[in-house]
Amino acid sequence: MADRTSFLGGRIPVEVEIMAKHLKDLDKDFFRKILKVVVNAVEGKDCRDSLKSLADNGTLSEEQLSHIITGIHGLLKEALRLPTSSLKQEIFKEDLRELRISEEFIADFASVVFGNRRASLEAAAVEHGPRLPTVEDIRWRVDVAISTSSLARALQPSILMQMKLTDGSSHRFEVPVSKFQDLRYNVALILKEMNDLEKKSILKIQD
Amino acid sequence: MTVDVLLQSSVTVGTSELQKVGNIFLQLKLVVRKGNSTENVYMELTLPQFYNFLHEMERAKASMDCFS
Repeated sequence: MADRTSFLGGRIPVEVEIMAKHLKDLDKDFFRKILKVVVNAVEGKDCRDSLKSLADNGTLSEEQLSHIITGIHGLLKEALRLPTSSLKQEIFKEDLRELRISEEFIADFASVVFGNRRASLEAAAVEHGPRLPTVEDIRWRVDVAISTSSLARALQPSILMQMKLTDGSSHRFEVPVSKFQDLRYNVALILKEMNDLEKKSILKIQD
Repeated sequence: MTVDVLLQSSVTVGTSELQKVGNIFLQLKLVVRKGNSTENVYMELTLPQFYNFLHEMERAKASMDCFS
């Protein structure tokens, strides 16, 4: 027996064990269809229609199908969490063999985790992490007030900014010139800090 | 209920958009009372929109003068 723990952890998750049992009698093409739908879901795409067509297929009961989908989802999530420098393909395949999954299915799993779709799956994982809404669009305008209710000849410049965020909200605000200088300074400071961080080797750790 | 009306005329001298610089517009700020607190309503009007607004205000004033 191997003297290291599986990539799935010390205790294999229940849903993965149940899935492994169900995979024994599963048709290869149907498995590939299910795998494709789960990979799309992990990428963040809407899979309601494809899930419905899988359920309507009729060869599996709803309970069996949901066990398989949950298991595949759990397995992929665990495998994708580990960087490719930590989890090598051979170790991944060995761990799946311990679960008594057939070689064909192991090859399919490996092609998802280690194939060319890996980059887009990792990008989707970063995006779906816990994050605040991000800035989608920034627009600005420099206006000079000619006259106001209180001053006939104001002639004051001001900067108007509009920021649209990814959650759909829009913020419009004025920036006085002194605060704008502060903003410029802080932006330059952030860029410098980011540049310095990139040079630090702590961000390049590999285990 | 409108408590206060503030008006400001401005000209755009620079923008991130591909619009004509030199655009004149008016900013209107209405201070509205909502229950116990006040809310600020901000609007921007082009010159034609402002003249329309002025016309409507003068019509309203004329009607009110009729009844007083």
